[in-house]
Amino acid sequence: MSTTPTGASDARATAPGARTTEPSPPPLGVPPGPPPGPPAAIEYSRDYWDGVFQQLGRRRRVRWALALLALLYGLAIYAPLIANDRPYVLDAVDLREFSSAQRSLSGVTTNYARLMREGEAAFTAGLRPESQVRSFSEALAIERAAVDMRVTAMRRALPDDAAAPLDEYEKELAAFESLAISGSADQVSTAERGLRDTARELRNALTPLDLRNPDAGGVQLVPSKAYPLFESISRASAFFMSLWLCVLTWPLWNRLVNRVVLKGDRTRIRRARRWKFGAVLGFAALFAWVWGATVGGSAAFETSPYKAGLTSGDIVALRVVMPPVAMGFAETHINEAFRPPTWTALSELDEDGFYVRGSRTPLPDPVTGIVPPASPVEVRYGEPGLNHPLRYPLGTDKVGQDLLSRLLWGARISLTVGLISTTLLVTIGVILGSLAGYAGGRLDIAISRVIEVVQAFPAFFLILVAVAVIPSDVVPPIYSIVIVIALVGWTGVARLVRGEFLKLKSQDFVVAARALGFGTTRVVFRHILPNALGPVLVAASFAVASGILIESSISFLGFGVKLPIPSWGTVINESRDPSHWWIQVFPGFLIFVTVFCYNLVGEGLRDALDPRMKV
Amino acid sequence: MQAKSTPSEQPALLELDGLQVHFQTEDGTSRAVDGVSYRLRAGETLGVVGESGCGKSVTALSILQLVPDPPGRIVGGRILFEGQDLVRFSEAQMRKVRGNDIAMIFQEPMTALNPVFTVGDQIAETVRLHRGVGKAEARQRAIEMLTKVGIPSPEQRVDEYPHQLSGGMRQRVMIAMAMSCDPKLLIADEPTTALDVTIQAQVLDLIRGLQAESGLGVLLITHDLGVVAENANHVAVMYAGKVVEYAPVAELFARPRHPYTIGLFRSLPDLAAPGERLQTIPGIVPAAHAFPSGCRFRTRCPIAVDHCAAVEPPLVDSAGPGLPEHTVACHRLEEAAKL
Amino acid sequence: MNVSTPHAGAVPTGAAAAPSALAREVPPVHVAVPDPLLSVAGLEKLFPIHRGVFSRHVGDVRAVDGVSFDVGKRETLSLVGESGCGKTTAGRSLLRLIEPTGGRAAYFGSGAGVELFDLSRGDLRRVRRDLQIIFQDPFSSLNPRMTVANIIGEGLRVHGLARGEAVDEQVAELMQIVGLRPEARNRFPHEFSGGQRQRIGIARALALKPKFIVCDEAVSALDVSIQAQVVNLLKDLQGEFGLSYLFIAHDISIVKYISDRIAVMYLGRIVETATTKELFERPAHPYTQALLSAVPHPDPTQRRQRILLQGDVPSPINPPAGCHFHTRCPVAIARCRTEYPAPTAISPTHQAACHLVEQHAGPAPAAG
Repeated sequence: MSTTPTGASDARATAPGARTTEPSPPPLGVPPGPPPGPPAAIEYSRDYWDGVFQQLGRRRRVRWALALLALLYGLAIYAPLIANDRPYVLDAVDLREFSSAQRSLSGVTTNYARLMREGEAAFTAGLRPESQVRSFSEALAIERAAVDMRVTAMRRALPDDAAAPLDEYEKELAAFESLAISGSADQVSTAERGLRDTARELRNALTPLDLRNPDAGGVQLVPSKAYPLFESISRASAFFMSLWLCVLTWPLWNRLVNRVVLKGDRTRIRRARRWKFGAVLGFAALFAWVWGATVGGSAAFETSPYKAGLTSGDIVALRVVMPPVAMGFAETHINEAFRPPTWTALSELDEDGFYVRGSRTPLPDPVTGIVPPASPVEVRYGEPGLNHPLRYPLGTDKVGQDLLSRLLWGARISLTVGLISTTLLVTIGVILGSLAGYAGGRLDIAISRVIEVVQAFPAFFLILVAVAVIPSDVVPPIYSIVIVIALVGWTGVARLVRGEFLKLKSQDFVVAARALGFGTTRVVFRHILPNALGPVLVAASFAVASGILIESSISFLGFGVKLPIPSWGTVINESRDPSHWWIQVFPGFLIFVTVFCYNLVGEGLRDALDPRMKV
Repeated sequence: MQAKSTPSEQPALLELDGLQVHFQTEDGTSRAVDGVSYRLRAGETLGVVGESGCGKSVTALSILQLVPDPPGRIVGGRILFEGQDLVRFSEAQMRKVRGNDIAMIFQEPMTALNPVFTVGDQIAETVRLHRGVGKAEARQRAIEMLTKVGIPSPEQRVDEYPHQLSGGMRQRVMIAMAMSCDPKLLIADEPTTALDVTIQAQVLDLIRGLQAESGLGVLLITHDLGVVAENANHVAVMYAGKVVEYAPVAELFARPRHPYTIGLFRSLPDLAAPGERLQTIPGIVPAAHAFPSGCRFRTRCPIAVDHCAAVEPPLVDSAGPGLPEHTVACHRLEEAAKL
Repeated sequence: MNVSTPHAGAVPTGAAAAPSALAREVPPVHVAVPDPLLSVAGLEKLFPIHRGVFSRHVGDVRAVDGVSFDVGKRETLSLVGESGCGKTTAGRSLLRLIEPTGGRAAYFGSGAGVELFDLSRGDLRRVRRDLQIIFQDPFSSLNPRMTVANIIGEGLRVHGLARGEAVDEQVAELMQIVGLRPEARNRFPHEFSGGQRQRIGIARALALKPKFIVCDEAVSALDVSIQAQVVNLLKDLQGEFGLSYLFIAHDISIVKYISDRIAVMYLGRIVETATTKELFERPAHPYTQALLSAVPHPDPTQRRQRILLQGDVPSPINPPAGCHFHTRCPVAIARCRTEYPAPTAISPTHQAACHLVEQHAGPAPAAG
């Protein structure tokens, strides 16, 4: 075919040698004459998104903004690992846990035995309307689990040679259980009494050796290893942590996969892109699932008793590894309320808990004239010392919670709200906008009217009303905020997409696609939508910024997340007293930085997507 | 590179002398106009032809110093208008020249007119700015100009907005605006490309008429060799930021010398016999940031030799003594003559 | 009705079509050809105009107002006319890329004729393989997000004409046919020059092995030297694959070079149809004469007498009564203002709709 006269004349154009020493913009369309020797290598070029990202990367401001956002999201995702009152590793004897199990064993045994003895009929008869557990078998299982939990807890700490009384107890329990099914009523009551006595005796038989008072004697308990912090990490957290790790190390393993697995074949590399996205998501999901099944997800409470136990000596530790910020986000230090950042001179406290500098000394109450007493400050295990500059690098709030920890954890809510609300509103906007733009006619008119109506809503007040009206125990307020932001915010994206569709619909390449006999789905999803998404991306990054701002404002007004869960807005809401400057400055700064970065990225995207840009 | 000037000829209205306009782009310096010289005498029309990207429009914009800076910049050469070098003019001086001594009309009359003002306002504005006349007088002048460019019922049209006019009408309004201050030079940048042939004929006819009336010099920039043939006195052929050939129109069309000009003529379907294949210039115009070394046409030239890559051919007069000036920039004129 | 040609017998002609709501008093210009590939009769496209709050229908833009023509096998028929005359709309509504509002189009690609305008969407998709289009703007006609290989190969994949490796092979072959290096197949459209992009568009149209291609101002946006390359390519392809073209253009010189027959349109209707030779030697309609004389000729030694038309093309919303051209016609008579002229046959292959044809059919003002 290449011998068509055009081809031949064009071939002459390529000056001799031009094919071997290719100039920087190669003469793309010039066909070769008769193929000389081996076929020329296939050429590749950056595709649209490569070009966009390269353009983005060329702007230093955008690079900074992206790096800062990556850092902020990293901090938010890894906040549980950075700021927590649970230790990473705890190799200890938990005296408190042991004795509480030991003390309560007889109680739970009694409950279990009674339930077993009285049987299903009595349980049903005694059922009160408000009780949560409605079925006998369920109640039985709960009571049995309570017994097991205590036995397990005690066994873990007991050395093998001291566990004989526990074995005895378990034997008796098994005997009672078999009797309860087959034996007579008398036999059962006798066995029940015996079991109760054994349980009570265990208290004396297994008194642990108190290290503070070793002369009293008792059983020497065995330390066991635990990972309380990791156990508290939920499946969702594990998913995002592994995902973020993959994202940040993308350049590394991407290069490795390209070279080793795909052997540098550019066709395969281009085709593998979608597959890689899937692989990363799949890996993170798998990791989260395995995590949930083995280690994590066991913490039900926002604070843990480990630090208090370690401080009081209830937990005797061989080895404790605390996270870098050893403060839980909901851990209170009631005697250090509104303490300024500890690196400031104002923050210095004396032994009694009074501020050394007069200005921060508590003032007498204007009515009673009583100076509020300050009680000595408790420095818990693993925390920096009383006046250590890094004790509270960002100060505390009104119940003495560490602001740094709260801000790290608060980033999770604040950043997520922006992202999720934007995802929602972009989805709604793209669907409705493309419907209106592609279908046209009545549908277009209808959707356009809806857009106009929704745009007339005062969004902020609508959110306030929604949060106030929707009962917070049915839908947590943070969800209502997200949903309402999305429900009032989609119009901008919809308009944009509609406009793009109207423009693209009549473009020749879309007409060409129809002329080639392609169906509507293909025309919309392959030819129109990808070309309409650029401006949407720009709008989305601005929407994330505004979502973060709206959430902060709502939380600042006190309608946001429920305490003690922090978000940046709720942290600011802790105090409006100008002398508590740290409460307003630090979270305010974080909100500012995030919003500013998103706006920079949005603007950078807008420039990068500019039709005049040189790809 | 100096254009030859014969003492007997009247002095040039406009003379470009080695004009260089460069653009700073991400791919490097783009030498969009790189040593362009041509001359235009009062009352004559100089046609500047070339393919898109050859720098013909940038040259025109730089005469009025309307090249956006950055990225564009006049880096060398002179623009002599009535003997004065416009490159040295201050912005304030240039403002007095623009619209007054030198006027310009553009390819797309829809975008060149401000949609929120009536055409009368737009013409009057120019007049008032440069002539300092009153409102009523300026309006009178606007009506007069509309009459002159052949717009029917100008008293009504003067109060209409650009969107109410057809494409041909708009181009007439543009011309009326350009001519309202009796300029000495009219730069017409592809003035008829957006118009239909019958309207194009009307507009070109109008420009010719105005020229005959006022002794206007016209710089006619176009890609259409037909338009040049019928309207220009002299022709400058541009390729890749340079003038490759300059001659009186009849001479150029009768005896094109440069291989590019020859190729251009051969690829015109008008001149091909029916059924005969069109001759083509192979390849594509090189990008402005990557012009080849030496002669810029050599990558597409059928008779290029190594010397063409090494040495840039100067623009020299190849006409014999006594004949009208015919300058060409080619090393291989004898071989080209056999093409 | 249909001004007789000796071969008109088997073909559905303009005689069959008078679909316009507006009663047409005269038949359209229509020269039938023997054994046509495509026969269009009374093609009409009205764009309704809505005004006011309730979008009341207040009128129509009569973009294409009863156009009839035949395209023979291996033939190039050109539609020429000025912007707004409806030539682009005619080409697109013929392929139903814009739904026509009236008329018939019979396609004889595979034995029995198919009525294009009666096809269901599914059937139409299959027939569209045979009927392709090439666009004017080489920048908006290619999807900027797709590689050249995908642009050309997508049709093959969607219609199941090739799969896997075979697609790559066919794409490479098509690229060679249109004069592109197959090694550049993984590049994106913006990396090519205008002429090369136009070649990509041609390869895309060729991929489905069509029999008929609408070239919608296919070379108008290109530079002269590139234009010649593409015109040559189109001619080569016609010879090689036996294609028929409907060549829509406003550039008379290209049309003269490439067409077998020419139809001149003015304000939504064809005013004259003839073979290229006849049209340039003996243009019959005053509009055709003016159009031909207005074309600037690249020869400074020939100064021609030019017919300068007055004024602009009237609005297609309210076309003038009688002959649409009478408002600008230099030779109009009273009858022209009231009565639309019936086509007059000047030869079996030449018709013009003008009351004054007999008087005014003369030699062209200037021939090349």
